[in-house]
Amino acid sequence: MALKWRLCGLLFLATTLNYLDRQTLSILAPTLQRDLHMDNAALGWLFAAFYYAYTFAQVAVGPILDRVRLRWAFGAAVLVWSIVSAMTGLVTSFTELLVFRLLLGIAEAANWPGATRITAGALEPRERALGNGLFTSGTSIGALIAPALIFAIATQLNWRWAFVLIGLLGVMWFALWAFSTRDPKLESVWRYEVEEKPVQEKPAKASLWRDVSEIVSSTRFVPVLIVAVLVNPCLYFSVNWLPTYFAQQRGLTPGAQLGWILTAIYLGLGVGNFL
Amino acid sequence: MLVLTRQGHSLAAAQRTVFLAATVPLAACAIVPFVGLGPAVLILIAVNIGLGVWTAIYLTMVQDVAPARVSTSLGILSGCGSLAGALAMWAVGKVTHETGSFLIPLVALAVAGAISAMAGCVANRERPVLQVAHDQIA
Repeated sequence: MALKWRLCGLLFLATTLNYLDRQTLSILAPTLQRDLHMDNAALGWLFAAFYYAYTFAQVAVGPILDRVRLRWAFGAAVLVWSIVSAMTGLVTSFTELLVFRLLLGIAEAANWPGATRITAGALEPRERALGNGLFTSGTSIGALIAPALIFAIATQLNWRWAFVLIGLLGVMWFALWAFSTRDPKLESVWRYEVEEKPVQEKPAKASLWRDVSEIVSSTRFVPVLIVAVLVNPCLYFSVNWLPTYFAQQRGLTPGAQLGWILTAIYLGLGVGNFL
Repeated sequence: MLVLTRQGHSLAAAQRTVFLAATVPLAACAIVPFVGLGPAVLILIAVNIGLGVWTAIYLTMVQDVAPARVSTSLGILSGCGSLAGALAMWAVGKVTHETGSFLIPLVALAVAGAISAMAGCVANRERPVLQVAHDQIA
């Protein structure tokens, strides 16, 4: 398999873990609501806290990732969010859970800015939709395997072990990433540049403000912004609230039936990524 | 996308076509509360196929906003998207807690689909393709 597609495969695995880690709470929400005495409003705060942290961290991490070698920056991000996810298994209260959700949101924010820059550097423009779809399908595959995997762990052990074991998968991914990205051919990906602006014409120190101005003044910025603020809530609703919707509105209890329904639904997300 | 571009469609036209087609099932979200479990699951599968298409094309759109600053572009745009998502998650919790129903969030999803389709078409208008420095990666 071509090196660039193997790289997309690793990004896919990282994205799968990214969603597995954030989905663990959503899948276990009915159980956690019972054990930690939380209502829907509290659960809403937990989901929102993750995305508030994720939002601000994503804005901050983008300019950083445009200036550093992505090989280690991206790998470190996956390692950190995996450790945070594993430590969530230790919480004993709503407040502690809230803190770990904030930390997870910060750590997971590097995934998309990092992965999209990597695919932009590794793939031709006409291949990017497929490359982006491939790594983004990790969201659906993560969401897809999450119900069965998390319910299985929670049933066999308990919900705390679900967080710990899912988090440990990220540590294994880091070792695979470090081993698989040693090829010198990938050097061009880590130092991705665009030809239309020759390096010598760039100012010695490109300012963040200039970068932001360039982005905001693009004619495509506003329509893509509208898409962004509409796509994300729809996607977040699907991956966060559907388990609770089926439990509360359809009377399904966490277990095999709910697991299969969620698996089928999130399989659709994966299919869509490849179309 | 690859099939459409191989058939001679421009990249932008292919993106518009796929993006619009993916929006159709999202509109069906509004009827989920009124149907039985089986049809509801089928509709939600279709909705998620649409969301999957949206996500891949959205990322491609972001890569074209400022090709030299992909991470920064994605950070800003998805940061705004995530903020909207955060507010939506909080709002869903509040609304479902007070109404005891998911009708409003599901209708909102359908409306968001329609608006996003229009914005996606504008974002995918024909434009010159930027030449990107690619070292050939085997």
